[in-house]
Amino acid sequence: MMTSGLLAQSVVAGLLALVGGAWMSKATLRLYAKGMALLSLVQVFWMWSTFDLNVEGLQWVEKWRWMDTLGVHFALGLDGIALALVLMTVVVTCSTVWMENALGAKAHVSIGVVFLTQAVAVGLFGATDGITFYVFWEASLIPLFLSIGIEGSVMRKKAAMKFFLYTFLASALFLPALLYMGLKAGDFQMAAWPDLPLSFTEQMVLSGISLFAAMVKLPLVPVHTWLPDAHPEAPTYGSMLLAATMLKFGTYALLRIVLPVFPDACLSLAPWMMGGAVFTLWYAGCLAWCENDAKRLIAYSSIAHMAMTVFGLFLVHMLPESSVLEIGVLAVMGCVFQMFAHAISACGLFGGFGMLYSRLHTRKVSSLSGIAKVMPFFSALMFLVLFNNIALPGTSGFVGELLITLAAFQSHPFLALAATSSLLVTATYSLRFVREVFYGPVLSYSVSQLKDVTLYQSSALLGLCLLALGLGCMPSVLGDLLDRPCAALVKSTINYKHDTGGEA
Amino acid sequence: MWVHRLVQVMWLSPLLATIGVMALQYRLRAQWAHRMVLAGLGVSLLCAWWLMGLFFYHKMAPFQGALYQWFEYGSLSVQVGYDIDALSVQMASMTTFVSFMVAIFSVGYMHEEPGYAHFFAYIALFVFMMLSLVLADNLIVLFFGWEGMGLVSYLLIGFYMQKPKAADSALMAFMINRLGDMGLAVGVAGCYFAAGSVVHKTILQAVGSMAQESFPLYGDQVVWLLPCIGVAWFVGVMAKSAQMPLHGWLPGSMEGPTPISALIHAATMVTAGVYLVCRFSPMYAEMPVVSEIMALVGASGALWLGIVGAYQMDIKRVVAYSTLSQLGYMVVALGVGAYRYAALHLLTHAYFKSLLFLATGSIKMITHTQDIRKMGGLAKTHPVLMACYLCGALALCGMPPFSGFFSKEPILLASEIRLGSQFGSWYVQSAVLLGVGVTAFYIFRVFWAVFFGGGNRVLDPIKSERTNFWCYGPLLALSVPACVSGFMVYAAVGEGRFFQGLLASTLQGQGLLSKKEAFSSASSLLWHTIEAPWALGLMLLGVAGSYWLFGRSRKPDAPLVQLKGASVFNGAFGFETMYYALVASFRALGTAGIQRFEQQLLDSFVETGVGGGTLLLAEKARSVQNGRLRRYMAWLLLGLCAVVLWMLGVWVLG
Repeated sequence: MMTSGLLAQSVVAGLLALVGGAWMSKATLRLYAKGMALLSLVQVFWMWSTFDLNVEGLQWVEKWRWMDTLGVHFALGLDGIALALVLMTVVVTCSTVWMENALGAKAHVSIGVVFLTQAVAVGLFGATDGITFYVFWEASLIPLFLSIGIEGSVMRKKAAMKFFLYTFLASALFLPALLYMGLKAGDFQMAAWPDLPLSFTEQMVLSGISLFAAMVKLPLVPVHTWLPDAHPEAPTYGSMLLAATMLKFGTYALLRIVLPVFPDACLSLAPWMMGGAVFTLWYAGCLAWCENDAKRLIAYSSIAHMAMTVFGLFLVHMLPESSVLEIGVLAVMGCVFQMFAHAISACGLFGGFGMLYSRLHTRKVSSLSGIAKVMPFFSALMFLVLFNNIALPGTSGFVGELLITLAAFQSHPFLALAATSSLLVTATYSLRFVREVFYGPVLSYSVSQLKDVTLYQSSALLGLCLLALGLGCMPSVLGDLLDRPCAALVKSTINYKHDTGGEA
Repeated sequence: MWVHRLVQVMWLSPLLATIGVMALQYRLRAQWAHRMVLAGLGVSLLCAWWLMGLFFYHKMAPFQGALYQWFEYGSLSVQVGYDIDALSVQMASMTTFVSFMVAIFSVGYMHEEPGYAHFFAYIALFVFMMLSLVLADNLIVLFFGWEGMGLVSYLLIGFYMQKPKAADSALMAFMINRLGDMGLAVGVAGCYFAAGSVVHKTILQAVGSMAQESFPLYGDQVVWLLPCIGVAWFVGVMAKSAQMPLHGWLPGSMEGPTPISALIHAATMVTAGVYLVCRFSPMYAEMPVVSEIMALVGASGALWLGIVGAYQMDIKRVVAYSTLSQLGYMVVALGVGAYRYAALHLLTHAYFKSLLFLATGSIKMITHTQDIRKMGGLAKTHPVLMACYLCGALALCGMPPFSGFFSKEPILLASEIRLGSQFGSWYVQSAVLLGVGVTAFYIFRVFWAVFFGGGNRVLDPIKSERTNFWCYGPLLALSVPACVSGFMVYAAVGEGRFFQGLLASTLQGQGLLSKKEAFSSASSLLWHTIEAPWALGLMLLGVAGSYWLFGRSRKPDAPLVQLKGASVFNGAFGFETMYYALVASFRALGTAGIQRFEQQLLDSFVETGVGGGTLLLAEKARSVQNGRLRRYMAWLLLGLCAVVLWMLGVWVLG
């Protein structure tokens, strides 16, 4: 009842807010949201404390009959990676609810969307059945489509449509692919799929379909353009949820389905995917560097960070056979750390910028200057978030970068160079953002009238900063969870079925 | 166990001070900021001295320990551990001593400045980071310290964040250092690959096998592992220790408060690269080509950046270029394999350069300007200051028996011994030798201009009083090691003990044993000075030349600016301009090229493809639903006919 309990609570919390929220006052709604978020947090901590670290595989497996003729179940269960990501989801929810001015004008819609997104994320990370997975995969579009469409800014309709069409069309073939695998295996439990005797052609076609769906969600260049358009139109909480939670679905599909089920196809695609990831990193980094709209800038930053997770995952295929088990764990773990760290920084950046936006009503980087002078405490927190973003040692971002770099060198020094180039790229645009927004003289009247945030107003940011520092100083907190499932993933990733699958 | 506690207290007390100041800055009055930081640094300093005593007088053996396990999965195990040996104790005591003095100085210097509490918190944080670097027993903690120092440096260069120039300089410093961090990270990953561990000791034991490792590049071409690590780390060294052509951030860093220039951008952080190579000297001893490059790069910096220093009118920038030049000497020492003397020069340089910088800060407080053309005649009003500055200047020149002599002479000697078949060694040797004269020239140029002549200076009596109270203490305290630290190493401690564990010299293994003894004792050093009077002669020539040009007149700019090609040196070879131009052109490329590609080609292409396709489909489909009943009936009939035909077909054929 662990996972489904959290799922049910999120759904109920969301629906209650949507339906009953219109009759509640804003203050009551906020209180309600905070209470519900806390309840979720308590549940996750309860799960975490009862999670058995020594058990390999899924825990708290729940199965309900759904479509008997096909053998489809509604099935949930968590391993360490999934639990870590569920934890991340709930942290994101909490910071969204606590972040000052993050929720939109129609508070009941905002709170409904927040909890429905949490429900979708919990369902997706916890899904063990292919069709259950797909249902949540597509359902994830609805809350954010609503959020952008209802509470977005001027160009919201176009952005919402673009967001919906991209992600929907990209996964149009995903369902047939999942059905094919499920029917072939006679079982829709994803755990059974790695043993499928798929021919190389089958693997290539199916992995191509799934990869494309994941690539759009991630997103990778050239199918990324929906994201920078969606963010500026989305309300603050929408951006936070989108960047911190939803982008992770793409990586999660890679590590749950693509890598373990299609090892041979992935082996031959690995150089291309890694090349694409590095290209995306530089391309998005360059765009972020030149961008003048702060929310688009952060969106490009998200793209660059997610590219690193792809790099880390496909790296497993490039490792020498002798050390792949020990080193592959580092690469995959680095990828999950990168996801977690990016959730922290995306939440902090979008939320923090939302706080600025609610005061100044501009997204133009060039029209801001000297914020650090008028809001020193706020700026200090934002600096910390940005340092997490550029993976400074001692923050959570560093752990992922480090692990991926260490693993990359095992394959070739040039791959390590490619991995570390992200250090340079992220720093370039992040610090340019700092330079233009926080440093410099106070130029405009509206900036000079700003007041610094109080401890209460900044509680969410402060919490995120402490989390980033805590994870950076004690990565073993998450590492204990990730160790076994990452090792298992590496094993199934390199479980090649054909000799002709490409060359290592 | 108590020695471990000692190390831990030394390491963590600055961090505690930082946290304390940061947490309580809004609750307590400003004085508490410096009280807490001084207490934290003081405790740290006492621990460092205690350790030094244990090491050099009680002959304690090196030891290792750890605070906690940071990471242990797969085959990677990282502890937050420390490795205490002679080199780390030396570095730690230097860092804590200089930073304690700088903190005391700052109490006077930063009085009533905005951001007073932050400033002190940053200093303490910096010391914590530097201690992490020098105490670390593995590369991850070292990397933590390395990048952490870069961060604090960034925050402090941009301390006057309202000033656009300060903000730009901070950004540039961080970016160049980030390039170096990239190199360091690649090297760390390489060491982990080769040794299967990130612990210093394990890596150094694996150096032999590392030399055999290689990676395929193209066809039969391979990349050798060891040079790969060496070059990657040298990029880190070039950025952190400001070697040409990545040195441009260091003059820019003078935008920060002067005490910070003394601490971070002269004494401690910029020497991190030199420390790294010293720490891994057995590895670099296996890389002759990389060492050769290091010697060439270092020698270029030592000479040419010194010459640039002679053209600067800003008193802080003169000292900044002097730092660049001296860092060049250290890197030459690394390149020719005299790791011990690189480390020794690092230590003595830290003392005399921070002394010079703090004296510069005092001069700035007294005269309210940084332009040496507006200064003069301070000898009469501030004789103690002059004495301190003279101490620093003489040590910098390498005048016996000041500390600089004991560290610089062996470097000159080592580069001379190196003379032989190596490519460009004539260049290395002549550059370091001429550099001695240049050093004496530029520093005494400032000395004459500031303390003599009758400049139209403005004196501030109030500030001068505070100078007396808070600033003379650190100046006098730093003068002591600036004078005697070099001598003490040989006389009181003994070279072998002082550099215990640090590779003596790679020269011994290369058939150059005839001059080996020159490295072993102070007396032979003196003998060398007599044997090779060039350095001393050039130094005296520099001092005399600067007096001839500047000591008699009151125009420190006239004679040099009139020289042909002076603008090249004046503008420091245009490196800073070049960086900014490079960034600006990339930015323009990004905006004009990639951004336009993204928005006008890629996005519109996909949008026309997906969105336009959908719209087109909708347009076509919509024309079917036109509301005309007859059309609908016609479609209906057509459909019916089709169904009937199909059924007929099935019936006939089936």
